[in-house]
Amino acid sequence: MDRVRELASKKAAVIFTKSSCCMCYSIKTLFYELGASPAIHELDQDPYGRDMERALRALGCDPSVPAVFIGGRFVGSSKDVISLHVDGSLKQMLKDAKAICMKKENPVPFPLSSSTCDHSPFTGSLAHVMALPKTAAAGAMHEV
Amino acid sequence: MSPFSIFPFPMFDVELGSIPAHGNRAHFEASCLRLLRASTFTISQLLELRVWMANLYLGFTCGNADSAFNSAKASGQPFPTDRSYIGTLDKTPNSFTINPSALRVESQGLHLERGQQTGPVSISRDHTENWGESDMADASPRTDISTDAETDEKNLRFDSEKLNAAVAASDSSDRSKSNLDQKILRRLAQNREAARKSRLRKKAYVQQLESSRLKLTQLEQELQRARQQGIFISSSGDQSHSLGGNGAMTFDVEYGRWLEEHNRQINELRMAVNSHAGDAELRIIVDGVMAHYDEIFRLKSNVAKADVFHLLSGMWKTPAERCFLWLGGFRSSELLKLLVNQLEPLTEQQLVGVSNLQQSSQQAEDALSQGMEALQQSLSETLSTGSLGSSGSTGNVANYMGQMAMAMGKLGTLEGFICQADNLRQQTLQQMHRILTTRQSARALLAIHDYFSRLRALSSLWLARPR
Repeated sequence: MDRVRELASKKAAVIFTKSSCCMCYSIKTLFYELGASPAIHELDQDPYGRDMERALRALGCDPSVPAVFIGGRFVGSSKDVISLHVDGSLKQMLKDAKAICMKKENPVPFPLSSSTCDHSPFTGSLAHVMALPKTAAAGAMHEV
Repeated sequence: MSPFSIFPFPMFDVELGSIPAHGNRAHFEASCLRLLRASTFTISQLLELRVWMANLYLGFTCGNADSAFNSAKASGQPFPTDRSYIGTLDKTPNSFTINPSALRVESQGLHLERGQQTGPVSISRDHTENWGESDMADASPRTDISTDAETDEKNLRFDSEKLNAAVAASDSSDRSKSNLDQKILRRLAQNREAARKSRLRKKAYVQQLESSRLKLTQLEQELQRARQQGIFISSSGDQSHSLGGNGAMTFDVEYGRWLEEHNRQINELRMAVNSHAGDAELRIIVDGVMAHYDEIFRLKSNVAKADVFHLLSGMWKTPAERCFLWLGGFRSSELLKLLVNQLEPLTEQQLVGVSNLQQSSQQAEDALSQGMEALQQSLSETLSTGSLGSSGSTGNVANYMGQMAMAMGKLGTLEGFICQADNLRQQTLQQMHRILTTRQSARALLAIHDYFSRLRALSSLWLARPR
């Protein structure tokens, strides 16, 4: 649990996943589309993975992955993320946590933009999952 | 012992008590007849009564053996011997033959009436004449009953008359054989008639069954053809592979019912909108429609657990709808696109909200689609590794099992995708409802319904097109 909290507070957006989980892949894709670059922690690659999974379940996350934290706070699993995304709350939360940039001019495809936002280098965790031709994730992001 | 103690109709015991048990047999018979005519019996009661009375006669008289009785006995029919008053049957009185027409008590009749409750059927049989058709008559008892009942009533009336006549005859002379023979012959003729009628009835019934069977096979073929063409058919009972309450067939039926109710609600909504109903009334109906949408998502989540491939296949939808199928349902972003034009006028804020909603649902759809692609890729990789492996046979089997296990795990995640897709649809609808006013929501729901019902109509037209 501590490790979960610790990792979750290290970045504005943190997602706990498993390398084999395709739903995790979907959620990650969604975050990239929104322009965020969440920290990805794969439980099956982590020595404390099993404990962390138990901790996530204790938080009420079912299934245990993907588990999303924004601004250090537990947001939920895929169902919650989608619901929040549809009513616009997800984007707002990401903005509040400074996980996505607010720049309006010339939106450039992530991760080439330079800004004060909390970008981190592309972790390359996608490579773990599979080698899929990645569509332009960030695309044209229109801020409202 | 008094035979009355075993009279089958205890309710008449009181009246019978007035009939002296000893003494003059004629007196006794006359009293019995009075009782018979005075009381109301059902047909089966009358039949039992005849048997009982035949036995009474036997108890009263003893006489010559009768050829009819002997032949019946010789046919091996068991005869109940637990009643002492039957004990004298070895020497069958002539009176026994007086009354076969009256009482129809060849031993076969006796046995059957004791053993069966469907009286009328057994009556038309007479084993003294060896009709092969007695079995046939047995096979379709139901069709026999009505006419047999009539015949029997006639016979019964005849019987009581004959009983009377027999009483008189036995009083005057000593059972003149010619009288008996005539009665026997008459009764035999009637039985033949009844048997013939029942044969004809049975023939008619069998023909009816045959034609129904043909019709049934024709209908089944039509149904099969129609199902192949993908017409949505809500049927029940002709396939047995639905699991519990959540199988594919059950879901199809439930979906059909849901659709009916949905159409009904939409009609109500349309009438309310056209009649410029107030906001309060509209809100009630709109909330009802939204709640009903929640219901279909609940049903879908149930069947996703049991048979996710049925949902994915879209076989529960019409062909044209299936064309637009995305992860087991409609695409919310498409729906919003077609709504935007129809919902004018929208305030600035609403326009922004709807456009955002469209974009969000598009993004979510993309994310889920990519997840599905990833799943497919992963699954095909799992199934394709090591198929040409050169390790020993046991190694291959172990590999195979391992692959299958992994593939099974991946297939299990399909349910999650369908659920999230439905979740997306449900959230989109609800968010739309929040952004719009009640009246706008009403118009939006009508527009959505019209769109899909046109798609369904298109499917029907397509399937019915001349080729």
